[in-house]
Amino acid sequence: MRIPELSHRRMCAIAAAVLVIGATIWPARAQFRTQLVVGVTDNINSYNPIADSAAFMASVWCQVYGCLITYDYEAAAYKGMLVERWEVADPTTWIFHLRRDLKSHDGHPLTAEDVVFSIDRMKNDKQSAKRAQVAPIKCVKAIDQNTVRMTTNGPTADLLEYLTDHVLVMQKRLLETYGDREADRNHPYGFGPYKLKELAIGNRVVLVKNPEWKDFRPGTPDTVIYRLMREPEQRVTALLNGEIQIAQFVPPHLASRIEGSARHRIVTSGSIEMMFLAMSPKREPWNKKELRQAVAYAIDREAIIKTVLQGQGRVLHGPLSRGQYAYDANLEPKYSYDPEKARALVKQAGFPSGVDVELFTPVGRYINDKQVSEAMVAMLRAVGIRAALKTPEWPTLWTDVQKGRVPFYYMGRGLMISGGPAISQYFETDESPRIGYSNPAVDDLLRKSRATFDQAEYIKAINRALSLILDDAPAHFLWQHNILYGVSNDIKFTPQPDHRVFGTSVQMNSK
Amino acid sequence: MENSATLEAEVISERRAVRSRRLRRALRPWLTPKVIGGGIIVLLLVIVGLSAPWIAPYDPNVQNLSHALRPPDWLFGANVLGTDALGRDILSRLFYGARISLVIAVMVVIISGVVGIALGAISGYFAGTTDFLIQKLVEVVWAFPPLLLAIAIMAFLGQGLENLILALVSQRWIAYCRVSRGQALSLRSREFVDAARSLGARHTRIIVRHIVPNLLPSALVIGTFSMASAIISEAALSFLGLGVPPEIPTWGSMLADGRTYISTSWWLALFPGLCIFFTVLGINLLGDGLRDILDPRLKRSGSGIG
Repeated sequence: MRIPELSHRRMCAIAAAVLVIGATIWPARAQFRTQLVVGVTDNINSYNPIADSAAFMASVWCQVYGCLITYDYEAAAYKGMLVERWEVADPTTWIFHLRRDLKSHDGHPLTAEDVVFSIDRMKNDKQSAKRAQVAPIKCVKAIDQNTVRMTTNGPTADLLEYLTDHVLVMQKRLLETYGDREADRNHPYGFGPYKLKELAIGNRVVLVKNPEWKDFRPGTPDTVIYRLMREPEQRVTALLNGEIQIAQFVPPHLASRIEGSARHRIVTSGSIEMMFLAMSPKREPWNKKELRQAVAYAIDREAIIKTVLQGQGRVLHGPLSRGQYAYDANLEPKYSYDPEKARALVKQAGFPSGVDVELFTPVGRYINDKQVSEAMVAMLRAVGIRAALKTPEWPTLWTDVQKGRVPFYYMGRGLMISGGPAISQYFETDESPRIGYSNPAVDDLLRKSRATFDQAEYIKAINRALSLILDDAPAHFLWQHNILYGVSNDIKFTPQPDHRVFGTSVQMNSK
Repeated sequence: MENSATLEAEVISERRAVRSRRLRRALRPWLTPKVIGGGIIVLLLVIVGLSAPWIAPYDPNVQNLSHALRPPDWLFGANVLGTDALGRDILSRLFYGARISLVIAVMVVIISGVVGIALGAISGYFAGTTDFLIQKLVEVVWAFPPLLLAIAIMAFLGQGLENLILALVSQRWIAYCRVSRGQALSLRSREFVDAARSLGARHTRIIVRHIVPNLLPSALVIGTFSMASAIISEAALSFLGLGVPPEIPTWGSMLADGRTYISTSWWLALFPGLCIFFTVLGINLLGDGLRDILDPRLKRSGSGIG
């Protein structure tokens, strides 16, 4: 075969074309940007950064607006994000010194006034779901441009846990100029490591790196996309197809699919989220203590963990487990699986022929949540509690739970570092309507735990409150999941016990 | 004597032959592959649905957690079609699921048929303002996408068999109403209606005794198709978690539960999916066959009864 000879002119033209194309491509390669896509299961439901207290959106807003405080699980210590350091002036006065090197995404410095304004908004915005997080704060004042003084209602030793990951700093200037809703929607300029590029409700959040942020490690992704994928199969398939790099909450039965891939791995993490069954003592028939206790005796937690969760969980005998700050190994496990006792308690509660109740469960929010609830329904029916399972969609159920409209439900409470604030939120009188439990003795003990800065005293008070709560059984504590993540081998990622996936906690491997 | 006996026997056998010829002639249009095939599937569904408590090997809701996710054991094993994530027998749940599909399909067809035919007959018979108002109502309801309206109703009323039937009826009566109204408009000026009117019959009597019976053949055809679409919509709503409560096994909810395990335990989703497929196929075949026989338009064009 004869190769046609190229004329000199034609060769020059080809060489010029190659040069032009090369010159166009080279800068693009030089500017190659890394992108991380995470498949998540929680809600993406509002532009208002304080309208949802659930873990996922809290982590998104923390990256965009910046949180005052976060928690470093490796160091087991609170860490300032927008705050340089803090001190306790007296048991009710905390002083926070803000970082001076931070600028907002639109170029304005972080001020103490912004912090004061943000905390006021969390207390007063009608849509605020963060009132519980700022409830212990009586007043907050700007001492100077970079210093904030918080006065608490009473001594609050675990104030930092209230603030962790939840107290965001929004710009006073923007909120005053545009109003809350307009500022949230069109001017979401915070101080965090990522800028909000796009938020599609019920679908995805896109974040891009804030070039002004100083603390990025090498390999931190330039863009982080969170895609809502409630179906476990969808997340796992997307991971295996290379559409996402992290699949959150992989159910145990799908782990083998990921383990079978050469380009992916399973990463497991313990969780500090307590899974529980709430029974509101304010509502019939749950006002009968014996019936609530019967539920606790009727559920075979070991069997559910072993079968439905395929061993990926730890039984909880209270809201906390070993390794958590306020955990006390001496707290007696009160309930074990005893259907006979449960049956007797149902009768004792005044229901000799059993009782009809409704159990509400999310579907796709927690690992195998519907299957877990169906298994519990069968166990409850076996002791005479004829539970009908209700499966409303998650956003509706979550709203109803927050408003105290659901008497009996299966749910989780995350971010339990010391445990105190979460226990107060669910079990202290009038802290939140989620369960509606009230016991003055518990209230006293929880107040006492907050008031002491001594670790041993704190743990003692919390656990005395817990033993009363266990006896009253307004909730039955079930288990903590072992959380499985499907992860691409293209990234380095160590999951945290609070399930949050921050862009800054991921490193992209160099290509 | 003998002759007369033979003659009598001949007459009897002739009569029998005539009767059987008549019967064959009457049955001939019905004996099409569509009607037979569809009829067998529907009959099977009815039999399985009605006899579920006797033929199901297990209680459909009994869990055996230690037997969870067992694959099908075809050769007369303990769980012929396997078990689900909670160790419940798939075959038993399919049998009970047939009941729900059947109950929903029949109830939806009857209620929407009664509502649709009644409104259609009233609308067509009275014409004028009554017709205008009813048809405006039809247009308003028709403007909603069917599944979306059903989802909205279920989200508002909550899960439950009655609510599900109401949600499915919400738009299905319209097909009956439209067709009945058109036919009633033409029937109202026919001689037998004029005759009844001139004899002093009241409107109610004319509608019930003279108009409605003439609307039934078309309604029967709509009903069969509507039955299939009701089963699919029920499956869709159950799949979305908005159908009947989770403790009642339905094919749609079994399919929804199975999708979580589709890559690891295929039998959870495959069998309910096949049940929905064959049931809808059967009902549609039957409906198609009935339309060939009963649709007056097809009669005129020479097909159908022939």
